[in-house]
Amino acid sequence: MSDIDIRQLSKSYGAYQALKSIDLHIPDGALLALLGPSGCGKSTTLQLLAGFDTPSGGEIRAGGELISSPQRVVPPERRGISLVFQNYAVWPHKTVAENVAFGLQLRKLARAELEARLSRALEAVRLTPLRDRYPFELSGGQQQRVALARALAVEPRILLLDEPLSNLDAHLREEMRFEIRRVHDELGITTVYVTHDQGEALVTADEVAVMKGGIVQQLGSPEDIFERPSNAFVASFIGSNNEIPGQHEAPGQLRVADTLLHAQDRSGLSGPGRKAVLCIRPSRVRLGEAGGATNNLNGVVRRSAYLGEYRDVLVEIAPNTTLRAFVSPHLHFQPGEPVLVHLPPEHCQIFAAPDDAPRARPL
Amino acid sequence: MASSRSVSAARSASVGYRCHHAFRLIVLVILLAVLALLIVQPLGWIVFNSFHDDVTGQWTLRNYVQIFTPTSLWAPLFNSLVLATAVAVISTLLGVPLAWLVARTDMPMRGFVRLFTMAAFVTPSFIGALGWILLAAPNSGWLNVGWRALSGADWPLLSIYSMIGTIFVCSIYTVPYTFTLVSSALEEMPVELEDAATTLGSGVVKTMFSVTIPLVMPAVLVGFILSFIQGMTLFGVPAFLLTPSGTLVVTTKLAEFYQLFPPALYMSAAYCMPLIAITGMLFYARRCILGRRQFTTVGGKGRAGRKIRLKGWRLPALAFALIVPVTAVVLPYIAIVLVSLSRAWGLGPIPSNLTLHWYRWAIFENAETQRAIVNSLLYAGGAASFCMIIGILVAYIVERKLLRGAGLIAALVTIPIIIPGIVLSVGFFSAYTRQPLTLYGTATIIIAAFVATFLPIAYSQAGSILKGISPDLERAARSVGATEARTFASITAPLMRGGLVAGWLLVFIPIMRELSVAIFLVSPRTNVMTTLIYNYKDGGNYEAVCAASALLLFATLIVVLLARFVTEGAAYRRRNAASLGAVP
Repeated sequence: MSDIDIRQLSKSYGAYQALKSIDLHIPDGALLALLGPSGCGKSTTLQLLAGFDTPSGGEIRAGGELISSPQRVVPPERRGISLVFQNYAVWPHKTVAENVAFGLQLRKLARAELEARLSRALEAVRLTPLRDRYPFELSGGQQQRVALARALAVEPRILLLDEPLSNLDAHLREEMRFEIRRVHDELGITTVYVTHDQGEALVTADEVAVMKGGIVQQLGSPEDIFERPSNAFVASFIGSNNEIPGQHEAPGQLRVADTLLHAQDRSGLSGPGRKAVLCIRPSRVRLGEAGGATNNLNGVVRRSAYLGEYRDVLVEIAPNTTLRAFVSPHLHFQPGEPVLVHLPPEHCQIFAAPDDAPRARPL
Repeated sequence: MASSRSVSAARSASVGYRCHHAFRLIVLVILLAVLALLIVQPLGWIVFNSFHDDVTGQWTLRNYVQIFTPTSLWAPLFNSLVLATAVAVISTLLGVPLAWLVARTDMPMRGFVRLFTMAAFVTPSFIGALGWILLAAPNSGWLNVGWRALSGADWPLLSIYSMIGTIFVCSIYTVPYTFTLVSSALEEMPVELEDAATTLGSGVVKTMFSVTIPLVMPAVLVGFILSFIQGMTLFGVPAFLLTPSGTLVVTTKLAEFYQLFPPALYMSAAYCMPLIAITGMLFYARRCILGRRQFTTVGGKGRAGRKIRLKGWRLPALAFALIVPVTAVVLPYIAIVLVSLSRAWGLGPIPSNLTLHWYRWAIFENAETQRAIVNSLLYAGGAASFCMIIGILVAYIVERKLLRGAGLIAALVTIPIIIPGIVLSVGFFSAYTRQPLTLYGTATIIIAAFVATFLPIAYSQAGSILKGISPDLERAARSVGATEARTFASITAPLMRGGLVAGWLLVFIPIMRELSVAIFLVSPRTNVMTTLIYNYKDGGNYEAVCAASALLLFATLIVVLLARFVTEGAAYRRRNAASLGAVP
């Protein structure tokens, strides 16, 4: 067991900067999810942690020991870090038991000890009945368990999971999320879990690091990330979100078209007139009722879709500005119908306009 | 406990760091040393020698001036160009329609034609030339004897000892290159492309000219280039068929420099250069064409197209398709086997003339042939194995990007592809018949020359096998604690096994039939079958030569069948395995 300390870690491939100086500390026994869209640098971070790549700058320490720096990279086999791959990478020429035992054989353990640890690992992922099967006789989920057992059998200090569930079907994926969390709770190994799926990250992780463009955008608990995102990108990447562009008037106030909206201000902007966005989750938008003194808008329904558990309604609140609302499926809205929109101020947040988002073209 | 564990982990990490790099360095140094000895040293000596005078040993440009002065040195170069051009044109004209008939039509006996065209590929062309001497030598050739008996004429129907005869024999043994390239292009081509044209109202012929032919054009061009290179670099056929009449080509002229006393080593080195320049340019052209070819086969499902009905043309088509199988395999094989079973081939194949004497002689009585059979199998086996080991090592370094300069090593092992066998022979002779490495007359020099010649094939084979194995399978082993070497031994090597046998075979077969690389390097003790047959042929004992040739063909066939047997089994087991490791 050990903690991981990543300091000013950066990695460039030629002119392309995959990682721009990230700092992360993962406490001993914690499960951290690295979450972000493809190309955000999460997989690069994982490759550097595993020792398959050399950083361009900064360093990684595990349990206080320097394992990666531009000058010195401890080879993967000497790190005590196990990795579970996206495509499982289960060796096709070895049986389930042989796959799991391989790492143990390298450690020259006594026969009884080896057998005991092998059984324990197979037991942990519930593969004991399949121990003599070859991988091609297993389903995707079972192969994933083999990969997990193989990584755990060697009792690593640190476990890395690289999008471990992305090749599984939706149903199995949901089941395996809890499985991974259960195994982590049982063994308490410091774990880094890379994923682009926010559901996976929220379910499994103690802490989530949201990444984009080679930078950690926010590090926090799943609840922090969802309820108190630090910028518009995080707000939109986690869950569904509405981003309404407007002018910053005063702290906590944003002008959208002619209406002044009140919200929690997370923009850090001071002077009036700066561009900013207001974010609100579709599930928090109210339709057809004036819920308070402020934040009421008149809109027109543009589209209404019945999704069983809720109704997804698209409302135009100003020319070229729409927002989505998830409302009770029993409410009926017809396209073209005028509707009163209420945005509860406690669920609205103001962020600085994302400078790298595609801007509206000047007309 | 936690602290003692992390201390020991820190120490093992530091030891591991040093072991890992020390091991890599040792492997790399050995590899580079071997490649320097196999490729850089021989080629370096050719370049160095080409600038030196044979008589005085001084630096000079005179050798090059001499090549391009209109002397006798011009003629072989010109003859080679004529031969190569004719071979390229004829093998394209024969090979492309042949490939189309076999891949796309309902011509009868397609399997037979394919099998025998591939048999022509495995047959050493100089043994084919030998067969054709028996068939069409002006006086004693059976076809000519028959012609004179039937027509009463006193002149021969065919004369194989001529430029036309040489072009003919070279061409029929070069057709398999074009055939293989074009037929696989035709088979890979998605049938939807042709169907799309048909649904737009295009007829069979129109579709062929507007869709099919343009799509296989790159394969045809590459086939043309390879055939041209064959025509330029073949040694055995012109040595057998042209040298008797005093006509020389570049390769036979090079051999002549060696028969002078003392051998004109420096002049011959310079004389290699035009040959290297031409093959180098053509391989560059081939690369450019192949680079573009990928566009045409994208989306190919490998589904066989509908067979085009030839109707009344089936038999004429078959007659055309049988040209190569009959002239390259059936006729020469029959001639060689019959002569090898004859007491004296001039008497013709009549019962009283039949004997197994020459086989008994070759296998049990004659120490020279015994030794050559053993040498051929040992050298080819050893060289193919060594070749594959280097090929795998380099392919592994390149595919897994283990080194920054990996591309340079890849280029180095690919260089021999542009070096004609006879030139490499010159290089090895120059490099290793002097101090400090005097290897002339040893098995080492022959095996080394074979390894160098076939490194490009071994490397590209190993590369394509490795491409099919996901690097994640190896990384998984590293992350549970296996070193680079252990990972290779426990994971990569077992997964490569099936492909390795096929790759080994692709190196072994051409080594068995290789003549020109060995020709200047063998001594009486280290003769292989090909060089022995070449020498015996000069002695004129055709019965013995034919028995030895038949034995060479037979030995190759046995190894091919054995290896096939092994790979079939491995392929079955791998099919399931490969479907897992390769694709995410």
